[in-house]
Amino acid sequence: MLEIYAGMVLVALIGIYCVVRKKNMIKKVIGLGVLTNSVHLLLITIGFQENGIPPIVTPTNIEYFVRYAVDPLPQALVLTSIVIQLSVTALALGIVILAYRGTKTLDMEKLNNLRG
Amino acid sequence: MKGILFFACLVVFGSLLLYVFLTPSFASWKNKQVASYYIEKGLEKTGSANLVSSIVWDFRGFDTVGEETVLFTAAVGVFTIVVFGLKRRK
Amino acid sequence: MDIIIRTVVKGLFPFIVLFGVYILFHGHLTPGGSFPGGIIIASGIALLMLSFGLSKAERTIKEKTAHMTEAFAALLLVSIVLFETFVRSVLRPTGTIFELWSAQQILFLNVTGGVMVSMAVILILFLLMKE
Repeated sequence: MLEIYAGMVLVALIGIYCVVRKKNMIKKVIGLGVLTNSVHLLLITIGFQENGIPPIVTPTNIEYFVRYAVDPLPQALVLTSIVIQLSVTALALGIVILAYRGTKTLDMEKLNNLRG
Repeated sequence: MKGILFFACLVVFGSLLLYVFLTPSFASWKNKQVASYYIEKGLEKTGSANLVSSIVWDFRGFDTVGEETVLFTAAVGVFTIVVFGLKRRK
Repeated sequence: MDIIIRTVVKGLFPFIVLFGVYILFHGHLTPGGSFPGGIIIASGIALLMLSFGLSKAERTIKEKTAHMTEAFAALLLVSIVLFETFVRSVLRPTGTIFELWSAQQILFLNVTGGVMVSMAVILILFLLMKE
């Protein structure tokens, strides 16, 4: 399972590249979402169990449940974090709409010369 | 020039992260004490068959209340930004 | 939009809402709970908004209704969780395990949380697509 950690680092690097180097404002918001999703991947990989089954108790499942169930705690944390990612993306898109109404452009280089 | 420098910084950062994540004792997959408590005692203490729901609403209910506050604040914040954006409220 | 998309969405919208309500109510037996159920209901309204335009979708749920319902559900949710020890004797459906009426307070909390999440996402979608 160690290659999932390498995959997580790759996705995080792609997210950071999108936030820093792209000029369009909406592409930066997309990069923020990709970066957050890579952290969710890391959190779920921590609760790994060999030949694991999902942590739901069913009537056919009780005998071998305690031995083989996957860790349910990181899944609860990721569930909370997905809703927080939704809130951050909504507010960021609200600010992008406000900037477009004020300056009629979506390019970040043209807003470099704002003076107070 | 700026692109090559940024790419080198990304490579250094990625290799540092990989060095931490690939040590053999990063996530101990053999000895789980917190997880075994939730798995063994989750059903009889709350009565729900879905252990993730019992953690989210019963064992760690305060985290869920905090996150509902964040969602509510985001909805009110989007309302304020879009409706009252560039006007000055007297 | 196109006539094919409009006909398909008009026929498919009640089943999407029914599926979201099913995932909401069985949150203590199957994977799911309040957050996926609420977002599925909101995505049904988003489908209406994309294919028919904003004014027709606003006739299904008005913006003022969504505002009031969300605030009321948020207040109810926070009050149930924070005063849980006093409220536990009132809502106590301790039935048998693996039934619908079984977990103690998780059933009510799932429904309230699902109403709040769906109304919040519908409100955000209405506001971001105005004018």
